[in-house]
Amino acid sequence: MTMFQWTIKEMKRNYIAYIMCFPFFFIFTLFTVGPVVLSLFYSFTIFNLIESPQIVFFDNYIRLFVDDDVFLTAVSNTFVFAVITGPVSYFLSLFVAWFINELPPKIRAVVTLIFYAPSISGGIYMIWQVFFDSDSYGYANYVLLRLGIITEPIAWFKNADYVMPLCIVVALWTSLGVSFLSFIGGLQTVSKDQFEAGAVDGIRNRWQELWFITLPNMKPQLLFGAIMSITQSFGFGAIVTALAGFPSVNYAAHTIMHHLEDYGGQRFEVSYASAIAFILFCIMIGANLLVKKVLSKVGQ
Amino acid sequence: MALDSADGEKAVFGVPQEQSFSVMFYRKDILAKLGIDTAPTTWKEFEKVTELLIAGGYDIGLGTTSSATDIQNIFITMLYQKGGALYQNGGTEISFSQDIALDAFTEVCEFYTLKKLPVKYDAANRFRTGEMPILVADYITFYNQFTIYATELKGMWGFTTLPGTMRADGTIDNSVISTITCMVVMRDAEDKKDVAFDYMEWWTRDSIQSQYANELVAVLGPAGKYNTANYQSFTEMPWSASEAKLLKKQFENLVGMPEMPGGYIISRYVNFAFLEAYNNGKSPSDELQGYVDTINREMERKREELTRAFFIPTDYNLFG
Repeated sequence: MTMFQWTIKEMKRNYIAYIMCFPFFFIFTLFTVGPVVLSLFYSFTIFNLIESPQIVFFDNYIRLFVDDDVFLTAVSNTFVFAVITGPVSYFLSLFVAWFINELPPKIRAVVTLIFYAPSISGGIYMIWQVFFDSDSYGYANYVLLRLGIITEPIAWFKNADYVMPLCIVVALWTSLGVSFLSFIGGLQTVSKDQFEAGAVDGIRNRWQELWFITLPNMKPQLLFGAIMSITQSFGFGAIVTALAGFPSVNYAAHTIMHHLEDYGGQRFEVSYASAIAFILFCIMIGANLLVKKVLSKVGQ
Repeated sequence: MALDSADGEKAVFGVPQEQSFSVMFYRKDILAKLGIDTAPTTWKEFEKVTELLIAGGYDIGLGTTSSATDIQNIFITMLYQKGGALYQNGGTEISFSQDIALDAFTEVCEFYTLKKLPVKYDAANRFRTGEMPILVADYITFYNQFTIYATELKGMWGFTTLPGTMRADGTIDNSVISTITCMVVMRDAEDKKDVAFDYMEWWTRDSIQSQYANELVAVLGPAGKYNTANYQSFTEMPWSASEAKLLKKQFENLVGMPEMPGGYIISRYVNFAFLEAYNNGKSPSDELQGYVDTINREMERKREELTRAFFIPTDYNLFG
């Protein structure tokens, strides 16, 4: 029988499995796949939620690349965020997990909590705004003024020079999240026999152990962590809005997400925002594929 | 209240419900100690008072920049006091390339860049400790807050109208920008239009607004004053005689900032220009002028969109 006929026969035989998958796939299609396709459709129109959409083909994309200098600023900001926050937080998670792995179990639990807490505690990153308040009585300003390092209070989150570095620091601080926990779990699962075998085979130091034994055993967790950190770093927007206002001064911390919200939520040019969203979607998929390729080389 | 289109013919009207504007609060005891007997009535006098206070180690609050609109508040107030307007060419373009606007903007920015007034501060605390004996703030929200916040200072503080600008003929222009919340009826509310209109008419009636304002004060105490837009009930609220006189004088000089399609973009770029001047010492007028084209383009896009989508009504008749 043909491949197709065989496929249908197997599907009928395993119909229970398909029924079990159905709820998830239904909701996934309705709320994730559907909107992506719809957004792609709207990106070829002019639509403001009130009039019916008019098809204009590639006008939105042409305008995006040719006529929109804020978009170019947003792209460069997003790449700076993604390149710094993504890999740095990824390696930070990995190394912190590796060091924590050495500690005895009870202390390990406490230290893990300390590092993991910022990412689960909702809006706690606002404490950075309290610390770096523009008010001369804010903590950072007051200390610097008392020490005589500055003579006037600095408007930290409203200053184009400081807002980006501050947001990157906050991003790293909140980024030790789920992937961090998965690394800790992954490190636990590496069996001790492999280390002993490695010692016999000539592994000389901890770094070799890490590269040849630990990391290859953790490939699933590495992949998961990479995908999570890339998705997070490209979609990083809500924290910047909360800390630096919308839009940030001179668009200095304006990412593609903000540009999207600006056109979608403030100016109601939903079609243009859809075009921006689709571009972001393509960038994220591209980055994911690239990282998968890099990770497949781990341990060689 | 109206949302105008370019030719001034099509318009959307709203019925005013609440109205807020800024006044200048001052600490009578501290100013008396420094020998300042009368509050400044023009911006020139205000600048002299500022210099005196800064030299004495005090601050002055000209509006916090916790939101983008506060710089715009003083800036547009000064612009109108000098006789300028926000838009030009029948409302199709922003007027920021005119000298009068650039002068007003430079004047406002220089308070922060040259005179070093604080950009962000906690108004209630600084006014209470006395480090900020003069403060520009909203006439009701700050009044309500401070009345119950600093009960030990009762009688030692008051407020007056914002400084004005001297006109060529010697009179003082006291215009102040005010923000107004309005009620509108949706055109597509077919069967409910009459009911909606009746409700609007009832709610904005003098007697009802007065009753509401008085009940708020009865329930919430002196901090419950309500910033009604209804002049009649505004005058009947429990202000003291001198306060009522000042408020009436300010009320008569209020100016509403006209709202044109795309107008939301103005405060964003005014704020950017201000922050460039404040953070990096750039020239305020150059910065502001650099954004004129961007603002005009956004206004044009929105005007085109709104007239095409015809929800600025062409023949809407309120009364029939």
